[in-house]
Amino acid sequence: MAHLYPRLLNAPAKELFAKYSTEQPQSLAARVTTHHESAVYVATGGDRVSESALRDLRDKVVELAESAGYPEPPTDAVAFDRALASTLHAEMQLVPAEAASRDMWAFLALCLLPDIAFWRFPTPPVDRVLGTDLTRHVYGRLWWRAQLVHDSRSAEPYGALAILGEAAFDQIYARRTALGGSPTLVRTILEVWRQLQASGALTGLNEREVLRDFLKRLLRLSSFLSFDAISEQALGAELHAVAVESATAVRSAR
Amino acid sequence: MRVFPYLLPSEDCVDGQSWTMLVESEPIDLPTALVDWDYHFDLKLRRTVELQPARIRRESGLPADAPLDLAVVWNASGSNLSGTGTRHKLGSGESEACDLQLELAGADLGGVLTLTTTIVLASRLDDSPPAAPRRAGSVLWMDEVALRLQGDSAQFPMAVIDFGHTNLPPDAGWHLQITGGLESAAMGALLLLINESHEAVVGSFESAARPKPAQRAILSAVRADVARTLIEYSLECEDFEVAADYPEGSLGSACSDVFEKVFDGRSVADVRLLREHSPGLFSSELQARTSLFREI
Repeated sequence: MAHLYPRLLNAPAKELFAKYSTEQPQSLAARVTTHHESAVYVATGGDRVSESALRDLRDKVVELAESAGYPEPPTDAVAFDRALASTLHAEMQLVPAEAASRDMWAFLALCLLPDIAFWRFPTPPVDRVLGTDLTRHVYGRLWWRAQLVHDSRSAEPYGALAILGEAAFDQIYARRTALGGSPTLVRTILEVWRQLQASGALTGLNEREVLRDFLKRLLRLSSFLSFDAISEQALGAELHAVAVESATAVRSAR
Repeated sequence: MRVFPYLLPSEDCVDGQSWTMLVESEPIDLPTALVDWDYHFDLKLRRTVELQPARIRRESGLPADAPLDLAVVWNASGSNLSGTGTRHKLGSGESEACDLQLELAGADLGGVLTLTTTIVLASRLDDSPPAAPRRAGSVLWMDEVALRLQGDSAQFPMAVIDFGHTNLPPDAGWHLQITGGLESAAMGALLLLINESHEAVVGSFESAARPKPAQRAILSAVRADVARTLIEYSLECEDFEVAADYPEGSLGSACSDVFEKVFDGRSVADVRLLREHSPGLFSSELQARTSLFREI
């Protein structure tokens, strides 16, 4: 059953952000709440998340943060993000259309988990908290990353989270709309990239440069190719050929 | 206009019939909008496409055995997701009719759903002739339809739960929960709970797009009861006024709208007196003005 989460409207979210920006993360633990008088639910037919489910979610995230060193700075922010991505995706029972709501992520960052948000990104820019850019939001970006790589058929459904670092993944995420928002395509890009790394085809090359070229080629091709229309096997073979073209082009330009 | 860097077959190689949608196993023409849609509403869609596979290959410059797929790709603007709806391998005959059937999970959708029916080269052909497509996924033909899911206007907040797990009467069909004051946001203050163990009521909401007569009666009763509950809530609030300047989208604004629709022109004090001194008449007036069972 899909859960609907409270959405914190823009005006109160901005006020809270300004207020919390002057406080220490630990002191924000006292501000934690599962309810805000300005929070609204949309009527899209899901069930409103219960207060106990919100508390459970908070407990799980706090536990992860404590394992990563909270309240001291994170010992390994990348590993924390990866664990948090799969936890948020597995626990929230959120449908993608709900997860596209910026206000919902603002509620999480300012009401339910403000201490962890401001601990992960001390003195954060506004988009890390308010959700003005979901590719940057402290929690929203991780849920979407997990959504796009999740493979329920795999023994490790979130295994692909480990293939690319944040900056590289953001290159794919930022082109998500242009590439059609297809989880199959994103997973295949990641799998092809893993194969390329394993085969040594990227040895001696600037991987970010090759990835950028690869994604640019895919964008150009998307004007006359339908990536979602073909089988995953055919897609993998085509993307592999395009990635090899990129590696070759970058190598020959050196 | 999109420019393709390879040969394309003539448009008349493909004849796609209109889409239909299955509602309780009965096909209806695909509408342009589904205002009653929500995330629980999976879509079952069908369409027949007649095409000429051999001619498509010839006119695209492809070998007679080139692998072609007829596929439906969906894209939802609300979730910003896309995926394959269905895929069908094309044969090598002169003509073929393909029945396309797909079922899309409501949880993945939202906003405007676009269905693109397309014929593509199914796998990469490194030795394809010049001017013919060679990359897997090369589009040879396509058409699109769009379906708006959810109305532009906000819908009523609703949740289906088992009343047996709450303090509500376990045999009740529905309950309108009102929390917060008149100034609070209506979407956060109102919640219509449907008892999932009450099959008739749940079934009526599930079939709200195309209800049977009995289900229409149940939906009419729920609508009237929601209006009655809002009116009674308004009358219980001492400071409720129809003319008050409640914020847009607030509970006060919603109550005010309903009050005006039901008791057009009558003062709040007058209706309070009616309810106090003639509860039977008050109830009958509500029944009449909420059009209970009028649309059956």
